[in-house]
Amino acid sequence: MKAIKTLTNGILKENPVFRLVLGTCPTLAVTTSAKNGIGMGLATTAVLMGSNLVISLLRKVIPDKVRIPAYVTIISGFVTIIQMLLKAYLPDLDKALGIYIPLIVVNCIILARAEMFANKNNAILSIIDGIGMGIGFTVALLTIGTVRELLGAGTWFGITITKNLFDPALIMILPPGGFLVFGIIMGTINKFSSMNLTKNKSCSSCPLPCGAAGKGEVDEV
Amino acid sequence: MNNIMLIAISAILVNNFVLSQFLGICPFLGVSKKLDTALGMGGAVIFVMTISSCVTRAIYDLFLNPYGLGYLNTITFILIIASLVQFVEVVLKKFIPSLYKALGIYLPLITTNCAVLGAALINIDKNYNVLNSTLYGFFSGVGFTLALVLFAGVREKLEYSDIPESLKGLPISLIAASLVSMAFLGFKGLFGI
Amino acid sequence: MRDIIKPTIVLFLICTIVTLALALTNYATKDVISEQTRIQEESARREVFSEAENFEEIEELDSIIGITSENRLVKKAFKCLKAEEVIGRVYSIENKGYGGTISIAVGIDNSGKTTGVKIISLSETPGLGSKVQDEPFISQLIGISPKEVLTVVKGGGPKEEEIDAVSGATISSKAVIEAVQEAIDIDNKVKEKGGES
Repeated sequence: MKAIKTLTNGILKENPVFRLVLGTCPTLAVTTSAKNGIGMGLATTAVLMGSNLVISLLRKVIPDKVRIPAYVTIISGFVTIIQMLLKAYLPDLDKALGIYIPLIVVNCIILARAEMFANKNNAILSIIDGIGMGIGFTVALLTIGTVRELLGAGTWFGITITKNLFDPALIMILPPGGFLVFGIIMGTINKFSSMNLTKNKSCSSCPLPCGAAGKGEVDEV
Repeated sequence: MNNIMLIAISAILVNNFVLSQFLGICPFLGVSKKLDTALGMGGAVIFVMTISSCVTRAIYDLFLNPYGLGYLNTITFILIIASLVQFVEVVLKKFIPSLYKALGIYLPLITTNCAVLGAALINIDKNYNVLNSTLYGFFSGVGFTLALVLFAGVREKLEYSDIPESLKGLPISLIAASLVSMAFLGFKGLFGI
Repeated sequence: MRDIIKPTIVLFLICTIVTLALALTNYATKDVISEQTRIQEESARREVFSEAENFEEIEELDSIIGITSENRLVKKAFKCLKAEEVIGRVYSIENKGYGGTISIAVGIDNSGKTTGVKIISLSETPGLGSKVQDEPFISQLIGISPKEVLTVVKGGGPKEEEIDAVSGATISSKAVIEAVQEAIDIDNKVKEKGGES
């Protein structure tokens, strides 16, 4: 029961992008197309599962004092492995995502889940949390990617869709379009959901990386 | 000299880290509520980014690349940045307490600012030498600060506007950011960059 | 004292294990990655020069052109062979575009006609600069044998040397045209100086 709750938690109630507002950089940067959005989402999910599992297993071994550097090391290990695998087996995706693959290391979602979930729960629940959060992230990226690609290029997954309906508005796949679509989707979700979580939420709500709670986070390396 | 100008204009205006490359969005949305915090954060980022760009590039050239260990760059860089931030914090606290007071609370947040790691990785990507890397780091930091300060100005005005309930907070900030970013789009093609 | 030793050891162990894991993955994927790059380059060469059966790298490129590889756009050149005969050359070129390096493969046959132009990779703005790899821009550069220098003309001109740029992406378009131009120039030199043998 708890497992199912953990899983759906990440997808809906605590959607990392629209609800917790974590990992905004990749959310905006790679969503120029639906395909890139899904690729980034799955890569992040893989890292999230791996790091959640390992950190959960090691939660009794890692001393509190050095936990952040230890987490960062483990996370960057997983990220580099994913990067090499992508280079070897999906070179096109690797090229499309470029520098944002290594930047998964500093994606707030991963460190935040390590700190908020994995170091308090057992391995199985942590993996499930990783999957749930990962799916939530992927769905969010896919949504933004779909909207931007449809409006900005008139295609979806590279298939031309709106050719005869309207001329694509290029601005949507340029940086301003990213901010705009993200803001409007977030506003729409607020409108139709009972709780306005993002109202007073800024990055200071982010448990570690961006918010003020990050004080003294790196003790020694 | 010409080269330096090009790096500066490219990093500050044309390829602004925040507004056109989407690096460092977290602090951009998080600490841009007030002008003075934006300046403080910007200063701290410029400081760390300049040093880290120089150090990471030097270490890449001296230790990683010659031994075919290029694949270790992400992990090495993030650890360098983390320890560097810690080191800068200790040094500032001890020797320049006034500067520490101004930048201190922002320093720990910088470790996970993707702009810093991003700059280090872009330097490798673009094959800049140590000097150019340092300059690129510095000017990217300046670009980051510029975006932060400009946006803080916009946001202070937003506080007093009457906006739909569901857009309050982050959504309207993102929409405003979209407009600021659109303004920066105008620098496109400047001096052929 | 214990407070310092234990965290240090744990952290050290984690670093070591992670590094080992990375070294292992690197060992396992290294060959696949270089194989991927090779296949990609090979298929790009085939695409721009489909008639050729085999490609052979021209090793003495530096001495033929007289410029070192850092100072020129053409990075590699290949002879295209069919039934042991050289029927043309393929050049791989890197030029600076708007968002970063654009790498391009250009095939030129013995008469100086471009047989194909293919963008291998670019980091131009999606939907804008990235259109240089699509029709109708790229086909303007294929199957031409320019006598004059290629120029960018709005709307395109009557001559085949006058290329219509992708609207809103003049820099990217110029970068590609410049690359093709250099391939043509260097091809003339290579032909003169015995690249044919």
